[in-house]
Amino acid sequence: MNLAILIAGTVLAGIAARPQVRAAARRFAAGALLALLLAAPIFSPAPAVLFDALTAMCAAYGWNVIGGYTGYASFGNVAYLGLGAFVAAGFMSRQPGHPHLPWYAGIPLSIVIVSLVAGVIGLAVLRLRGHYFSIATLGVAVAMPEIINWDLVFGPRGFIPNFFGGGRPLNFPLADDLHLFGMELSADRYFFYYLGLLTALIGWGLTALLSRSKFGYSLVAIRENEEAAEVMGINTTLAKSAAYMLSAALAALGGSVLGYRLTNMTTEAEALFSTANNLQMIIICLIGGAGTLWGPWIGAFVLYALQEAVRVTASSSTFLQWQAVIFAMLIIIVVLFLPRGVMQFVARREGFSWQMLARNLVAERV
Amino acid sequence: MNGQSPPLASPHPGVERHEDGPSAGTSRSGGRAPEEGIQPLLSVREVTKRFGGVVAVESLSFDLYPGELTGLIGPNGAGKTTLINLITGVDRPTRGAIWFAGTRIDSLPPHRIGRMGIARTFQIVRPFANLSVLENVAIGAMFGAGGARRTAHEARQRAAEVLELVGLAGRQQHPAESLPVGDRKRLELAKALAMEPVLLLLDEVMAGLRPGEMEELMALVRRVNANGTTVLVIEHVMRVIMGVCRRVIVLDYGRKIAEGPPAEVTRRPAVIEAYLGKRYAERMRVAE
Repeated sequence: MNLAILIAGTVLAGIAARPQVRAAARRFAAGALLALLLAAPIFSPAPAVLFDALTAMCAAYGWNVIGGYTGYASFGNVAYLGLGAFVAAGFMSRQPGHPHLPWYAGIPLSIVIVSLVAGVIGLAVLRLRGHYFSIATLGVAVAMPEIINWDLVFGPRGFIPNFFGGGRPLNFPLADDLHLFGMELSADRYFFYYLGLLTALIGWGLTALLSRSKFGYSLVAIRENEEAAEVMGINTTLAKSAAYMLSAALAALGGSVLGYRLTNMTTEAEALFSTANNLQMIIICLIGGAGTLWGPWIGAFVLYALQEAVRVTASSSTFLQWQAVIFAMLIIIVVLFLPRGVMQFVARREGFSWQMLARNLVAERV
Repeated sequence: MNGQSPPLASPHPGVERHEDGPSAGTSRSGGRAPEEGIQPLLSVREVTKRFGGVVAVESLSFDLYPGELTGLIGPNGAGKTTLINLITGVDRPTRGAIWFAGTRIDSLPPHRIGRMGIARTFQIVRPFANLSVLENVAIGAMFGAGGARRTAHEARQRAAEVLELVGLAGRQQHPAESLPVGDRKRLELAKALAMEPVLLLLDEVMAGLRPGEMEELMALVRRVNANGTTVLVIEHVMRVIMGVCRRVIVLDYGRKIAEGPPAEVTRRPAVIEAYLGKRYAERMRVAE
């Protein structure tokens, strides 16, 4: 069932993204996609899979801003995803010493703080270009979990004692199930799912605004030729910093909602900061098409559809191993044959052809 | 030979100043550029640029006046592109000062200088390869001197007008990377023009063009100048400049070796020597 929803969602997103389809038809497809996703938890046996896809999509939209539009391939956005979850948990936790804010205050506050942290880190890493930038951001990803465990700052006697637990477990509060008209709406099935959908829509909406704005143009100009962009009047330092902060903000949004559902930060820290999480948002953008509005949407649905297909056919014990193999093969295939992702079929007049794949293989890479 | 002078001629017709006679003192202290009858638009004062041990530009001074169409020539490695990089803020001078419209600009970042109204083309063209021709030019219209008052949408409209002017209107939607060399040069010029520059610096826009294309492009540059834009044409090939500029500045090994009307400057031994070698210059002298 989830597989069917993901495939239908991919097709609808593809139609909505296709420039040669009439505008009215595209809007209809986008509307149908939204209706499908709004209705999904009612008939999906496991909306959690869709929730994972949607929060991953939000983080991927974040990566798309810096890696896709600006052309700075970050390998450290997972740091902001994890930090977002921890900061939100710090604000929302019911344990003593925490402000136990509601989610609609704690999560936005966490996003603001993570953006500011990214702004400071950006001052350093954005001075680097190309591979050097990627490696520096990878360093950020490795360092972030250690910083969270830094006793001097966050330990029992630190400057901000026990904000991230500091020896004690850190938990998000449990979300209550909703009782409405005599129906019991479980938080896991409905509340978290819609929160996940909201993050994806925010990611999509901000990207839609970005792609038409002067800010968006300035990012693309930086990607294409930073020196020419600067000479043409673009404050590249400022634009890059803003892009990096926005990128981190979306990672934090996806991460904090993801963390909220996982609840226990102390046990989930490794999973949140994992390499799989880090690569996932990049793979999503590559599959769909980096630097495009619908690329992350399509990429997330295609990736999760493939995972679902494997899960359906493979026994659960072999699933994890197979998942790694599929991820790896997918990256190789996409990078070699489809550097512009699925969007290459969607956006161009030409349909699928083997010649196109062959052309891509020998095409010059930037 | 210089049949057409631009309608908006230099305020100093027959401007003729030689390298050994600096017309004004180097005012490093005051808040404004060296005084003349008319304020120069651009004033380069005693500028030196070193890269390690190599001196690319050495205590160079010159002025550009509003409305002028001036040439800057010199053999390969004379420091022409370095000079452009210094004026546009891409590089900073080791010594000296650059003034633009009364403001000292040699320590400003490139984007500030671009917004003040200095636009340049790059010798090796730098199109935004994956964007359409229209988007390339729209970015100039968005962030250049006229950018602040435009929305992204208005910038696209403005870009379409500029593309009409340079003769690329039919290629708006083509990706920039698909253009042939001649059209890439036009695109490079269009990107600079869309910024609505007060001063336009053209770094070897003619290189690699066929003679017919060169003439078309030069006519376009003259039209731009006629509309009030001050232009500095940097060229390796003298022939291109001879017909259009009232005044040329000749660089060699980072120094100014001559300045004046093209017909006169090209007769000077120092210029002949720089281009053709010492022995050739001596033979010329003997022949005369």
